[in-house]
Amino acid sequence: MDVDFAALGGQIGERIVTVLAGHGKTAGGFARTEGEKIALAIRQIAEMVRDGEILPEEAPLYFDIQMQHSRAVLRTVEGIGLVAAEQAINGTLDLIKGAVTTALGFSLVK
Amino acid sequence: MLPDDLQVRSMWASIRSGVWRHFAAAVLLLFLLPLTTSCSVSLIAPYDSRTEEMVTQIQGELSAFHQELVYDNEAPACVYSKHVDFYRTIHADIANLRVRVSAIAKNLATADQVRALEAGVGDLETIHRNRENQPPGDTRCMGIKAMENSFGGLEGIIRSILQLEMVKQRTL
Repeated sequence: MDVDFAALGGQIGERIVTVLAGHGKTAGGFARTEGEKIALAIRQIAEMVRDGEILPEEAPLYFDIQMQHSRAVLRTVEGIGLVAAEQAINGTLDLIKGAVTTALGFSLVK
Repeated sequence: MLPDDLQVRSMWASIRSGVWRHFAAAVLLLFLLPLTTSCSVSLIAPYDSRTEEMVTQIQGELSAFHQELVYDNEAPACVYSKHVDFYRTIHADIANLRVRVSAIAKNLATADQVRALEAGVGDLETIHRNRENQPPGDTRCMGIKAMENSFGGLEGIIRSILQLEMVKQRTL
């Protein structure tokens, strides 16, 4: 196996960062970690084929399980981002309900 | 510069300042207007205890099945046809979970995680089923290392679903 898995992990991470940035998200550190995990999964699967633990034709199925894992992890990050955004907006509303309502003399928020 | 000019300039500056103040207030109100229709904004579904219970149950079934295959790692005990009931049950349980999470508004992230779990379990079933067609002997069983890899991936998906639910529970 003549593959530089560290470099591969970095490349996958960069690709994920590029795609996420295209969607207006910044998850650089996380994406790089996920890229490294995918590279590690490729390495483990390649080693299992080499050692006869799995058949070459089974490799895509094992890899797909790891990709589904990455998909689920990315969805968690997306959800955490939404929770954070929701908290930020509702924190703003709380501020408006308090100080801004007092300053204006009428309520903007029901 | 004449004193009158100064007064005019000062007056204009005052008017401009007033106009800008009102303009800024109008922009602020335009921004705030959509927020006035409710007292809070919801971007993601709230925590659902039933989802957590169902996911935890599925994790229990997967762990038990993994250990069963580790302890009975010899043909014919390990082969797919001896374990069809497990796949039938877990597919049904994941389908139930999918229906529930899809019925909850703004729950797209969790719904997609459940679809990832469904796809992953489908991959495991295909591997297991195809193994049975191998020549008689231990190669008809999934290897211990291979199972660690596949079950580890599935457990990772379940962990991600639970992590998101726990974040919702703590913060929403």
